Amino acid sequence: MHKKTILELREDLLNNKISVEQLAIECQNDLKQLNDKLNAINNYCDFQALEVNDSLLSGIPYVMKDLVATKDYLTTSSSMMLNDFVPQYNGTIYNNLSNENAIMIAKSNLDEYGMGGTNLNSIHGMSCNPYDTNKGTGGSSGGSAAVVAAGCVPFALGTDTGDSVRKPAAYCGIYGYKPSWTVNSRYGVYPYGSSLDQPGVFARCVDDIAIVMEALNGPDPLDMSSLVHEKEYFYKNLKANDKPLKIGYIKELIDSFDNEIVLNQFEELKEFLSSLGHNIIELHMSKDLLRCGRGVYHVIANSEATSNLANLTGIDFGLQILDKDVKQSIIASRNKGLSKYTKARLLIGALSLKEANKENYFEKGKKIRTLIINNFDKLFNEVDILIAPCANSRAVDYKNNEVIPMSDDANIIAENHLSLTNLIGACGITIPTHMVDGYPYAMSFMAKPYHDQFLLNFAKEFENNLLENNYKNIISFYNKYAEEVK
Amino acid sequence: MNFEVVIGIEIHCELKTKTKMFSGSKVGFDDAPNTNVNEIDLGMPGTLPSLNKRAVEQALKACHIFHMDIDQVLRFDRKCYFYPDLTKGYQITQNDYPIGTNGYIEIDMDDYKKRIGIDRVVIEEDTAKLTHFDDYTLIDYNRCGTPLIEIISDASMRSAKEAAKYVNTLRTMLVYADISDAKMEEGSLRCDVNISLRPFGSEKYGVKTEIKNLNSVSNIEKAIDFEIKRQSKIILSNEKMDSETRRFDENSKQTILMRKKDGVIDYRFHSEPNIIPTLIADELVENSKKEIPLMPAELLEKYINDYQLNKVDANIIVNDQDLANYYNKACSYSNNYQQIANWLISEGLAYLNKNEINIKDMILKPEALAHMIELNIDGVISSKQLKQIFNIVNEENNNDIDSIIKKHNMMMISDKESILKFINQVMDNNMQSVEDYRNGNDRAIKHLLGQIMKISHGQVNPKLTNQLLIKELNKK
Amino acid sequence: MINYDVKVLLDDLYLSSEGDELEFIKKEFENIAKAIAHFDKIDVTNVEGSTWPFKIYNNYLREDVISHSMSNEDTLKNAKQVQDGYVKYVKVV
Repeated sequence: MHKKTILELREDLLNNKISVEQLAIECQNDLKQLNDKLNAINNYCDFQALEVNDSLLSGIPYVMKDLVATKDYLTTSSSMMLNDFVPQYNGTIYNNLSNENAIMIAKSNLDEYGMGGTNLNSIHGMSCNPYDTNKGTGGSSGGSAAVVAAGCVPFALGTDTGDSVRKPAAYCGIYGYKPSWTVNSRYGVYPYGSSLDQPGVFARCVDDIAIVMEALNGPDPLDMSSLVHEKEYFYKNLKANDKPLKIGYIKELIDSFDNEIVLNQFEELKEFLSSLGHNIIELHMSKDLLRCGRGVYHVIANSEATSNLANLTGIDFGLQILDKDVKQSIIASRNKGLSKYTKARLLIGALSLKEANKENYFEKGKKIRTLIINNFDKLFNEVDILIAPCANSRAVDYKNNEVIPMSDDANIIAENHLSLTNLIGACGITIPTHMVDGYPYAMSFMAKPYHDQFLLNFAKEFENNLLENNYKNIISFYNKYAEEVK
Repeated sequence: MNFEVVIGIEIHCELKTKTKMFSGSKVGFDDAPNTNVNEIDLGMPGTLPSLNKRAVEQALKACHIFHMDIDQVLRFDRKCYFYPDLTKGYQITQNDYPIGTNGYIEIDMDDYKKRIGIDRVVIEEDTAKLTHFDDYTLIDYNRCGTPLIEIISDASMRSAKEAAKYVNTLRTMLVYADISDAKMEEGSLRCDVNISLRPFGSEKYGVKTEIKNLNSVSNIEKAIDFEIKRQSKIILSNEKMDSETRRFDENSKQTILMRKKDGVIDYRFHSEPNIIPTLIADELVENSKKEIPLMPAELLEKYINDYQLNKVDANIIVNDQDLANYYNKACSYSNNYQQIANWLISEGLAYLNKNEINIKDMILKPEALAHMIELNIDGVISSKQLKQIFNIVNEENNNDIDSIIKKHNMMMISDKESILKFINQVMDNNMQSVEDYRNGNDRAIKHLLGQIMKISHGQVNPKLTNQLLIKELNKK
Repeated sequence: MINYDVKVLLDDLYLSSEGDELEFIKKEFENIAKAIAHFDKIDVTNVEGSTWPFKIYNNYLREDVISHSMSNEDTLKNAKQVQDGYVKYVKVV
C-alpha cells in the first residue's frame, strides 16, 4: 500500500483511501518489522498526524538521518557521546519539512558524525542492504538508504560530505542527490567537513527528489553560507531535458576502475546516452592529481572535523565521565564517547594542522583543492555533465568479512572520485542502472555548481527514457525497491 | 645598572551591543545565570555563527579612532583549545585577517607626547564565566559569545607611567566613542601586559613575561614596577630568565607565577569555514565614522586653542565625558567659554559632589547656565546673585532664569545716578581712604569699593562702580 | 615524509587509546595517511589555497536585535551536573 511515490501517496491521502495517521503508522510498522534485518533505525518518533494541504509533502512520512537536530527527539549521531542527547533546537531542513506537514517517523543509523563510508562506524552496528542483509549499505547515510530501498518510506534525508548520500544510494539501488554547496541550509546538521557538507535526499524517482529538494532548499539567516543562493523551485521547474548535451568522462578516472562488470556497464551507459542524442566526449585530467583526491578530501574534512567535534567534551551536554582533573575528565568522556574510527580520522586532522606539518599537509591540501577546482572548471567549459560509475564494486559482504580485491588506483581513485564533487561544491546524483546477480549498480552524474535544476532535468530525461523500455542491460529503477529483504 | 623596559599591552574590550557576536541572544551582565544563552552560544552540535552588524560597526569605530587601515573583507579563523569556558572547543577570531591594522594613539605625558602603535584590532567572542570553589567549578554561559575586540599594541612603551597613560587614554577614547563601557573593574576591559628588559642600546628583545589578572590601571603600574625589580635582579645575578605567565596579586603587590611558557601553544589555527568572506560596504564604514563624536584629544585641543582654557581645567572637563557633553552644550549657547568652565569646575562640581548627583541629572540645564553667566558678565547680575539664582533653580526646579531674576528683584544696579549716590555716600564717610588714594595709594580703592558693596548689599554693578569711583576720585 | 607520533596527536585532541583499539587506530590512520604521500608529486608554486569550493562573498550582517534565546531550563536540560542554575564541573585550575 505504501510502497509508492510521493505523488501516489498524496493521491491516496486526498482520496481518503488512507488517513495520514494510518499511513504513518503502517510505514513505522514496516520499519519496526524489518529492523532486525536492516538495523537501519536508531529511534522511532512519536508523531502528530498533520493535515493534508496544498503542499505535496503534507501527510507524507519520511526518515531523517540521525544527525539533524530535531527538538525534543533524540539525535544521537549513532555515537556513544550523544546517545542521550535531546536537542532543544531544530535543524532548518527539519523545520522546512515540518512546514510542509511532512511527517518524520524515525531517525536512521549512520557512521557517527558522518565519518565513514561503510556505516560500520556506529555503536549500533552497520545498517544492512535490503537486497542482501549480509552486505552493507555503504555510508555514512546507510540507514536512510536502506529504508528507502526497502520501500518503507518514499524518501529519507542524508548528508553528503565525500559521497555519503550518493554511494549508499548506489549500493542500495535508489536515487541519491547531493545539491551544490550552500543550496540547503546546514544549520542543525552535525558537521563533518563544513566546506564539503550538504544535506541530500534519497528517493525512488526523480520527481520525489525534486519535490523534497524544493522544500528543503533556500537561504537561511542561521547559515550565512546559504544566503548567497536564492530559493529554487526544483519540482515546479522540473522539465525533462530535451536538448542534445555534451556529456564527458575523464579517461584517467575510468581507467582506474578494474571491475570488468562495472566497466562494461559504463560502456552501455555511454551507448545509451548517445542513443538519446547526446555527445559523449572523452576528457583528461592528470592521474597524479586524481590520485591526490583521497588525500585532499581526508586532510580537509578531518582538519575541519577536529574543530567541529571539539565541543564534544561532556561538560554542558553529552556523555560525561569524571576523573581527577578537567583534562582527564574530558579525555575520559571523549574516549568512551567517540569510536575508534572517529578517532583515527580526527588524528589525520590533528596531523595536518600541527604547526610542523601544516604547510605540507593542510595548506598544500588546500592548494591542491584549488588545482582540482580549476581543472573541473575547464572540463565544465567543454561539457554539461560528467559521468562515471559510482563504485568499483557492488556492496560489500561485511558479515562474512569479504574483502574485494582492487588495484591501488581503483582503491585510491575509482573508489573516491565522488568526493571530488564535494571538493568543488558541485551537484551530483546517483541513478541506479543495472542489476547483476540480484545486486544493484549505479552511475554518477555531476553538473557544475548551481546547475542543480539542470541536473535534475537531465535525470528526468534519463528516467523517462527507460520507463517504457530497457536499454540492453540498463533497467529502470523508477520506484524500484527490494521486494523481499533477505 | 638600569635596563630599558620594553612593554606591549594586549587589551580585550567588550563591545556595546544588544546581542552576541555570532548569535541573537541577549548580552546582559546582571541577569540570572544561564538565562541569556542559546544553542549557538553553547556550541551545541550543528549550530552555526551569524555575524552581528552592530558589533562590526563598533569594531569599525575602533579602527577609525585608532587611525587604522581597515580590511573590508571580513574573514575569521578558529583558534582551537580545550577549556571549560570555551563551549565550541575553539574561539572564532581573526588570526590571519584582522579588521584593523597599522594604527596608533597619542599619549600625553605632560612634558612630552608619544605615539604608541596599535598593530592589530581583531574581532572575536568572549568565553563563559567560571566561578571556582574548593572542589568544583560553576559555569555561567551568559557571557559566552559576547562581542569583543582585541587591541594589540606594539612594544614601544618604556615605563609603567607610559603603560598606565596608554590604558587610560585608550579607555577614555573607547568610552567617548560609545564603543564599550571599558570598565576594568567590571571586566569589560581586560589588560594583559607583556614586559621584558634589555640593556640600553640593545636591539634584541629580552625574555618576555606576560602579566594577567590586572583589574585597574594602578595595579598595572604596580605590577610593572614589581616586574622591573624582579627581572633586573634575575638578569644581574646572571640567572636564567624563563618566559612566564604571571598574575598580579593585589594584596602582596607582587606578580606570581602561573605557568612557564615552554614552547608555543599550537592552536591549530584554520579558516572558519562557516563564515564565507563577508564584504563590509563602504556605506557602513562611512556611517560608523560619522557616529564618532570629537575624541578627547581633539576636544582638549579645542578647549585649549579655541576656548583658551588652561591645560588643567581642560583636562578636568575632558576626562569626564558627561561633564564635557554638558560643557559643550552650554558653549553652544554662548562664547563665554572660560567663565562657564570656571563655574562648572568650582561651583558645579562642588555641588554635584556634595549631593552625589551626576551632572546628567543636574537640574540646571546647559542653556540656563550659559544665560546666567552671560547676564553676570554683562553686569545685569552680580556674582553673589549668581549663587542665589543657582540655589533657587534647584529649590524651584525652574530653569527660567529671567523669571527668577524678575520675581526676586535681583537685577544689579547699573544706572549711574544710583551708583553715584552710593559712591558719594562712601566717599563722604571714608575721607582718609580718599586722601590715601589721591596720595598715590592705589590699594585704598579696594576699601572704598568694599564699603560701596556693603551699603548696596552687593547689588551694584562692580565694573561700572569701579569706573565711576575712579572718575570721582580723580575729580577733586 | 610523514612525521607523526600517534600518542602525541591523540593528546593534542584530548583523546587517548590503548591496546587493540590503539592498534586499530594506528592502522586506519596509516592507511589514510598514505594518501597524503601523493601530494609530493604536485607542484603548487604560486597556487592559492581554497577554503571554499568557489569564490562567493556574503553581504549579509545580522541586525542587532534579540531574537533567539533558550530558557534556563532548556539550557541546562542536557547538562549532567547542575547547581543553582549553573552547570557544575570538575574544579578548573
